[in-house]
Amino acid sequence: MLTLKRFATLAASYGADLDRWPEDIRGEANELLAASPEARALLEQARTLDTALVGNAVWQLGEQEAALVRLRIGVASRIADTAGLKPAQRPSWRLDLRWLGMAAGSGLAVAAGLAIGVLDVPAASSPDIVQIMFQPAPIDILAE
Amino acid sequence: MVVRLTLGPSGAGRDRVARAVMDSPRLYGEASDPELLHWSAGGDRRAFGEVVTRHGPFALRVAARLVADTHTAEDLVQEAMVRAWSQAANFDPRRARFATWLYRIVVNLCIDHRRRVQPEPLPDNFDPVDTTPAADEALAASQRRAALAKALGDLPVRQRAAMTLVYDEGLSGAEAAQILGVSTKAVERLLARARGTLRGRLLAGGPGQEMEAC
Repeated sequence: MLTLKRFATLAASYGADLDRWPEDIRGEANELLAASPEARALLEQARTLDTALVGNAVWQLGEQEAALVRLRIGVASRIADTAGLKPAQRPSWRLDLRWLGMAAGSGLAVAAGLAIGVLDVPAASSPDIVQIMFQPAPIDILAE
Repeated sequence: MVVRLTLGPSGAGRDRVARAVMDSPRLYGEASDPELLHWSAGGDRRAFGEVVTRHGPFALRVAARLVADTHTAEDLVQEAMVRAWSQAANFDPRRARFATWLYRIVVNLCIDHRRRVQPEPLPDNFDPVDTTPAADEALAASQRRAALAKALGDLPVRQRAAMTLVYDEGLSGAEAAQILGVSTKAVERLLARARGTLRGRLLAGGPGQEMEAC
């Protein structure tokens, strides 16, 4: 049986949205809400803070996608380094990666890839520059 | 006289079949996390590329909320991914979900970074004033967002991590506890303390009044 004290503790932690509460206790929480004005008041108090917490976006539109592109490139490069690939087999990183990321975020990822080099892209699949860079096969890179 | 029957292709034929099986394209997008990590442990960098694609967005969002800036967040997530690559052979799927294992690396790197680096205060001109008549509402919203970001950024890092995982990423308390390496009750305490602090910072009416879990 969910007590009012435990209900208050959960509201203090998880706020007013019962979807955040432990799944096995939501049924009892709803029952208590139906029966107890104190429980309803606790939830309303929690809701005021929940409202203030909305709007905490970290990435602006497109920025996260650009960051993911940079992440994939950066990881591919470091993994290639640890694999001991010969220089001719490794992707060239002379371009500033943040420029590449911003270009990707503005929808110019393909153009950026063409600026990096000529890649062996399978005809049947859409060109994924970073996926190619994860391949162990040698990659011909145009000099800057 | 004994007759030995050889079933299937022999010699070079068997080798061709074996190569065909080995060379058959792996369906990285459909593979499970344990499969991808198993292939990665064998040196398959395309498999790990899928890992990065699949889990990178979550890792980036969490890291960006835990450290001072998004560039640092990217660096830390990259480091976490490289560590996951180097440790792929040591991951035991019977002991933990891969996502839990990976996100724990991310969160721990972020926590360590926060503890090493004192975050810089927001500059005085962080939120430049727009004096156009129609900007009042936008200004108020901008100020609220800035106040929220500041209040969240000032939280102790473990409280910030708990808030990020549960409130921003929608994990359960139990899932957040696995990533943070603590009990579910401990996560609830972190959340309650964070909410209490935030209530005092963001809402009118004085210090937080919410009960803390015992």
